[in-house]
Amino acid sequence: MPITSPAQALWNQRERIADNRDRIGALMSAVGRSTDLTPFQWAQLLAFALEFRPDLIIELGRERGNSTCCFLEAARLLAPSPCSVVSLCLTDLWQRETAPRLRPLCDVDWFARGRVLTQNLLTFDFAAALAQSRRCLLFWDAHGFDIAECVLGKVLPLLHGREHVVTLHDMTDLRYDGAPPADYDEHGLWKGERDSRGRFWIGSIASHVAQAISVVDFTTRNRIPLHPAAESLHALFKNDPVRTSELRRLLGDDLFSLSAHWFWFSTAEAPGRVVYPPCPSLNNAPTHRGGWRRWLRPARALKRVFRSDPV
Amino acid sequence: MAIASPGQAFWNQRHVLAALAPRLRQMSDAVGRPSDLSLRQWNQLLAFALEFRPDLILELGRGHGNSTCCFLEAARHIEATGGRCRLVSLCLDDTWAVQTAKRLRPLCDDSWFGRGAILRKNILEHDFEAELTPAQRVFLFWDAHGVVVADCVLSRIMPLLASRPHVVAMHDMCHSVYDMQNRKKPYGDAHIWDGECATTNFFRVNGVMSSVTQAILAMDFTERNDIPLHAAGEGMHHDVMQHPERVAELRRLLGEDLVNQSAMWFWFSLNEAPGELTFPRPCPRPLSQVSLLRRMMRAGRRLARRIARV
Repeated sequence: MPITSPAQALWNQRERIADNRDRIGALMSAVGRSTDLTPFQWAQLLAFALEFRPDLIIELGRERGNSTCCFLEAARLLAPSPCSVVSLCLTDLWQRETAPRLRPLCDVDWFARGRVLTQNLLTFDFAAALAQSRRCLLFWDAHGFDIAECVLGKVLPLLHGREHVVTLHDMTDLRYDGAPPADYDEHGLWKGERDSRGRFWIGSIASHVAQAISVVDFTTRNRIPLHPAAESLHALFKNDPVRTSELRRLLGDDLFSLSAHWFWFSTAEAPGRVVYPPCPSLNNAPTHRGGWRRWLRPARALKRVFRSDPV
Repeated sequence: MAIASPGQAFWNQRHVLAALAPRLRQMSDAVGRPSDLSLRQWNQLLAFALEFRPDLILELGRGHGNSTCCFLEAARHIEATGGRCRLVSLCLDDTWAVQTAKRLRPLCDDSWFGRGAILRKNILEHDFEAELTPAQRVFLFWDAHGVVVADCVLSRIMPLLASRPHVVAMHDMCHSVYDMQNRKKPYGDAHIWDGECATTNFFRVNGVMSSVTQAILAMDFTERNDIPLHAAGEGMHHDVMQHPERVAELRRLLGEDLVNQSAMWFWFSLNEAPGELTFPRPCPRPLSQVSLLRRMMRAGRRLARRIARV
């Protein structure tokens, strides 16, 4: 069954989102970090999840939990159909800060649909988590090449036999999301996976996260379309003033935008056999490659010793 | 003036290449690392340099010195045909001095070596402003890897080149259509590319297959400045391989193995930019080893004084 585009999902789910507009606003205010996930991204991801009707949503990377909240809300709106959320992140900001602020707004059942874990996703048992799932939405917002290797080499092979969709945050399509000025900003060049400041432009994609390169590589090798969410928004709404005005009336300017700044793909759209990168160790954090040479760079070696685990 | 593609250059310089063929083969054998730069790439780069006729060739990264040798030969030929050209080669490696130059002595005279300043030096510490001041036409060969060197090239060297006719040739990048006979795309035993340079873990992004970080940063740079990032193989395809009569003549002159569209290098020039240019802000220059040593000695003296006071 083809996957409904984010634009069609938004259109199909517009009434439902409009009905929950005040609640969405309250949830976003409670999380208090609308810069991490903008209101229109909330609405788009919520609609996409509602339309896709997953029985499992896996969230990689959470921080304060904007998207966690969005997906738990999707799970609530999908009830009585079963839908659970597994959220993995190294931070415990959700438990310490966000969840207490959400308690006045959300009941025990709302929280119970989620396993919000403070855990290194490189050591997580995805096979067990996916064992009962038939339809999975993966939200990828954890950064770095190590994580990309884990997702592409370990999680995607598990998803391939199931209906699934992978959504990617922190990627902009310069054609649809609005091109930032071409000038390099104060952060200069993109300097690799641990630096999240400098941006790179490759073709029509702008991003600051390392996994964007790994995903473009993966989808190129497998000839899988890598869809900018905004592409469908432009295709469906840009030249349709009737639908656009209805969405603006129902959702308001904050929840409706033709920009998206996220992408999605599914290996179900591969025209042939899917190839995956080897994942060095299935349930253990991968050992860093590069051997003894890495330790010849004392500054980097020191950082490596003292840094926390990735995510 | 438009820059001739590597294919057009290869065609235009065919008689020179044919005349030099035995010498180039001897040089390549003397360097003894055909896997670093194939004889086909030697010929393509030599033709491209000869056609461009730079008065300065700047080589970043040298290793055993295949390209050094190729560009010294270009400089010799440019001078022999009435021009002038010098080579500045920067690399941390001293293999050129220790091994390669000795092997080339039977083939090359002092004036051949004299056109090159073959420096064992950190690229980041070189004074490119002074180096480029007298240059009017520059050929930059970029074969040094990593983000730090890329930062130096894009933020320090490119602004200096922008006002001059120049080309930047980049090694270690393949085009997925023009350079690759086997277009199968499995990862095989390779891991995903993780930012490490010159490993066997390649990425395929936007038609480019590479394992060096500067490939990503060059794509970024050319995209922002709206300039084409040309696959040399594309030029070979359009200006050579699409013309059967050219292919036939080239094969007659140079032999079968040298006439192929596969090139595995790219080039770009800011001279092709349609509008205003943008450059990344340079990272602070790293302290040289000498100044680091001085700082450590000063700190040591301070510490000794404190201990003495106690």
